[in-house]
Amino acid sequence: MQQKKEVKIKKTWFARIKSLFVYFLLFLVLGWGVDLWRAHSMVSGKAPELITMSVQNKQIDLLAMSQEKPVLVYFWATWCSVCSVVSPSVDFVDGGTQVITVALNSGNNKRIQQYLHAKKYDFSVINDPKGTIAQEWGITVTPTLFVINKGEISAVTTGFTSPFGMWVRLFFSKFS
Amino acid sequence: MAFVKSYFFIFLLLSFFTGNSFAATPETGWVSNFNHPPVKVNLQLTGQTDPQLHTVNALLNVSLEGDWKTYWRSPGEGGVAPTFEWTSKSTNIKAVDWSWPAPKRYPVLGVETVGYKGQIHFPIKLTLEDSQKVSHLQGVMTLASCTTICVLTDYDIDLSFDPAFLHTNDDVAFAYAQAVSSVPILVTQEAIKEQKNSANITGLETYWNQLEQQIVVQLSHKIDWQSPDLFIDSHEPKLLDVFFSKPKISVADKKLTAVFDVSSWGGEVDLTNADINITVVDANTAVEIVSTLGNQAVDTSGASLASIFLIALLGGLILNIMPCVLPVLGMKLSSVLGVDRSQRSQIRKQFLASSVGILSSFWLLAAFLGLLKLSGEALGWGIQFQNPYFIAVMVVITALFTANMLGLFEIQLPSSMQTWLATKGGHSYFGHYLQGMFATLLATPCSAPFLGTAVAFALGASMWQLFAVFTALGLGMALPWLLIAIFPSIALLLPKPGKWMGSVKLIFGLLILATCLWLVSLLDSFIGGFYTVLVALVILLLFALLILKKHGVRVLTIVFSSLLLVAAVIFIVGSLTSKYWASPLHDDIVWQPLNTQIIQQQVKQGNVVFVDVTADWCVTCKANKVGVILQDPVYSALQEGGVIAMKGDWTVRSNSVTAYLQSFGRYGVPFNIVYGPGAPKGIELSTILNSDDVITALEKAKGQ
Repeated sequence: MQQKKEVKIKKTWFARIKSLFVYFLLFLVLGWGVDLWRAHSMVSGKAPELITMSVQNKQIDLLAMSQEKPVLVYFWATWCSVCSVVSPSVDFVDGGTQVITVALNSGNNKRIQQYLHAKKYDFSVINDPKGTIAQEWGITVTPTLFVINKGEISAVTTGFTSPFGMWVRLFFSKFS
Repeated sequence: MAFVKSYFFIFLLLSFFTGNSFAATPETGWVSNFNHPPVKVNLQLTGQTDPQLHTVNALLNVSLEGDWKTYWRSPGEGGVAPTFEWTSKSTNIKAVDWSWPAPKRYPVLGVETVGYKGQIHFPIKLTLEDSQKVSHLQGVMTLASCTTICVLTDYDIDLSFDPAFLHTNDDVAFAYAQAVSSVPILVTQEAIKEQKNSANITGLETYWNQLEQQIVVQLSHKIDWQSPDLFIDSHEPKLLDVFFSKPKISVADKKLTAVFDVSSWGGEVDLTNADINITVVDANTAVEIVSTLGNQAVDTSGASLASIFLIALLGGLILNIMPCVLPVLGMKLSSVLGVDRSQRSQIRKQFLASSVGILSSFWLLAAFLGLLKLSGEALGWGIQFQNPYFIAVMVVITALFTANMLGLFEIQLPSSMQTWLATKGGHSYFGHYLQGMFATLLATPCSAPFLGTAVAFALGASMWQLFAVFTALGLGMALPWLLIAIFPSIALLLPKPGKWMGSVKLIFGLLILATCLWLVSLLDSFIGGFYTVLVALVILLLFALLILKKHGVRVLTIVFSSLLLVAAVIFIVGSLTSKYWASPLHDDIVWQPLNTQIIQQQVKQGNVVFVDVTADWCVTCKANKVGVILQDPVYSALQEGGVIAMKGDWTVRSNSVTAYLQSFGRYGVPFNIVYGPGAPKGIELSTILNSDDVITALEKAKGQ
C-alpha cells in the first residue's frame, strides 16, 4: 500500500515536470513565431551602416564596433509606454556589453538629454527625430532590439524583453 | 443586411461616377497602413457648412482593434498625441480644429497612459479661406498606438470637396452630434464664479504649491460626485514637457479635492499663474474648466482619515439594525439563550469567530473593489447589483433564510459534515466564522446612513486607505458581536427562552422577506415589470402555502396581515414625508412627445410649452436634467398648470426630431426652447442650462 502511493507521487511529479516542459516549449515557439511575424518587414542579414554622432556627442560606428564584440541596438521612444519598462533593463546590460540606442520621433537633442537625465539612463543615444534611421532598418514597432555581430544581424526581438532574454541573445550571437 | 450593404455600395459607386452634384458626402474611406493592420482611420464630411464662419464639419473615425490604445491630446509622460500635418499640401484650408472626447486612463504594463480604446470619433471643424471654392485637404495623420509594443503610423489623408455642393448626410451628421456630445463642455472660471452656465460646477479653487510641486484642485458639484477622474493639461507652449500625475482624489459628497504631482524631465517647474485646463469626467459630467492657477493655499484637510474612520465605524454599526442583517444577529443571540453561565468562554470564542468572519469578508470586499479600481471599472457600494445573476442568487439566499426563520425547515448539514464537526468537538469555530461571513453577505444589499459617505471616500482614496475604511466598516459591524465576546453576560441578560422567541423570529422572518422582495424589485430593469411582479407573487404564494402547511391558517393570517400592515405603514409614512427624503431626481414631469402642431395649438390656448430635445448618449443633456430641470425652481415650474413639458428623444435617429432641430439651424443636443403666448416663435435657451434663464424664459413666454 505504502509503496504504491510513493510510485503514484513520483509519477505525478514527473507528469507535472513534463507538462511544464511542454508549456515552456510551446511558449518559446509561440514567442519566436510572433517575433518572426513582427520582423517580416525588418532588415535581415547585413546590418545597415550606422555612422553618426550620439546625443552625448560621441562618434558612433556600429559596424566597426560589432567586429570585436556583439552590439545590442535598441530602438525606443519617449512616448512609448512599454519602452519605459524595457529601458531600465537595457541600461542594466549597458557597460557589460556594447549598447547603442536609437530614439524615434522623440524631439530634439536637448529634450532627449533631459529625459535621460531625469530617468538616470547612461546608454548612448542616437537621435532619429524624423524616423529616417528606423525606416532604413524597416522598423515600425518600439521597443525593438537587434543584436549585431561582425556586421551581421544575429537576433531581432520586439516588445517586452527581460535582461535575461537580452543576455541569452547576446550570448548565442557569438556562435552564429 | 447584406442586401442593404451591397445596395449601398452600388449607390456609392453610382454617385462616384455621376460627379459632385449628386455626390454622397465626401469621405476618405477607411485608410490603413500595411505595416499596422489593427488601426484604421476614416475622415468623413457631414455635409454641414456654415457660410458665415466659412466652416465645414467633419468626423474623424479611428478604429482600434482588440487591446490597442491611442492617446489623448495630452497623454502624459509615456505617450504622444495624434497629429495631423496638412499645411504644406492643402488648398483653401485655413484651419483644422480638432475636438477631443473625454479620455480614460489605461495602465500599460504598470505605466499610466491617458487615451482611448476601440472606436473613437473626433469631431473636426475645417475653416476655409473661401467658402465658395473647391477645397483640398491633404496631409499626413500620425497616430501612436500601443499594446505591449508601440507603433507610430502615418496615414495619408486626401479629401477634395466643393463646399457649395455639399448636402447633409444624416447618418454622418448624427454620428457627428454624438461625437460632439462626448467632448467635455468648455466652462470658464468666471462662469463658475458667476454661477451661470457652469454645467453644475458650483465652486472651484486651485492652488499651485511651488515647494511640493503640486497642484490642488477643489471642485464643488450641484449633486454628489460618483467616481470622478480629473485630467490637467495646458496650452502654454512652455509647459509642453510638464507632466501631471494621476491625481489623488478625495470626495466628500459634493466636494472633491484632487492633488496632482507635477514633474518635468528638466527638473523643477514653476507654474505660478499658469493657465491650465481641468477636464472632469464623472457619471453624468464631462466638463473642461479653463482656469488660472491660484496662489492661495486650499484647505485640503476636508474629511480627514480619522473622521472617515469614525464615520465608517458608525456606518458599520448601523448596518446591524438594517432589515437584512438584524435577523442574523437576532438568531445568533437567541442561539446562546439556552447556554448556562459555565459556558461563557465558549460563547466568547463563538462570537469572536463570527467577528473575525465579518472582518475578513470586509477585507475580501476591499480587495475585490481594489482590483476593480486598478482595472479602471466604475465602482460603488453594491455595484454587484448591476449583475442580474448576483441579484438572483441573493433572492434565493434571502428566501431560504426567510423560510428558515419562519421555521419552515431546519438547515440539515450533510451527515459527513456533521461527523466532521463532531470530531472537532466543541472547539470548531469554523461554523461561527462562516456565520459572520454570511452576515456580511446579507449586508451587501443594504445601505445605511454614513455607509455611503465612507465608501465614496474609500473608493477615491489610495489602496491602504481603502483597506483602512473597510476595516472600520467591518469593525463597526462586528462591534455588537465583539461586545458580547467581551461581556458574555449581556447575552444572558435576555429573558428566558419562551413563547416570545417565536414572535421575534416571525418579525425577523418578515424583515428578511422584505429584503428578499426588495431584491426582486431590482430585477425590474433586467427582466421587465411583468416578470418582476410575477416572481414576487410566486415567492409570496410559495411562502403562504408553506406556512399554511406547517403552522395552519391562524399563523398565516397573522403573517400576512402584519406584512400588509407594515407595507401600509411604510407606504403612508413614505408618501407623507416624501418631500423630506425623496430624491429630487425622480422624474415626475409628464413629458409629451415632441409635436410641432400641438405646440401651436397649446400656445393658442394660452399655455406655455417647454421643449427638451435630448438623448441618452448626451452627457450635457444628463447634466442639464439632474442639475436644472429636475431641481427646483424649474422642476416645480414645469409641473404647474398651463405649462406643458415636451420631449424630443434623439437617442436613436428620428426624422421628425432631426427636422425640428434643423428648423433652428441646429444639429445637436441638448436643445431647449420655450413657447408661449408671449413668444409664439419660441425662446431658445443656451446649451448649458441655468435655472434663472429657464424661469425668465418661462415667464416671458407666459407674456408677463
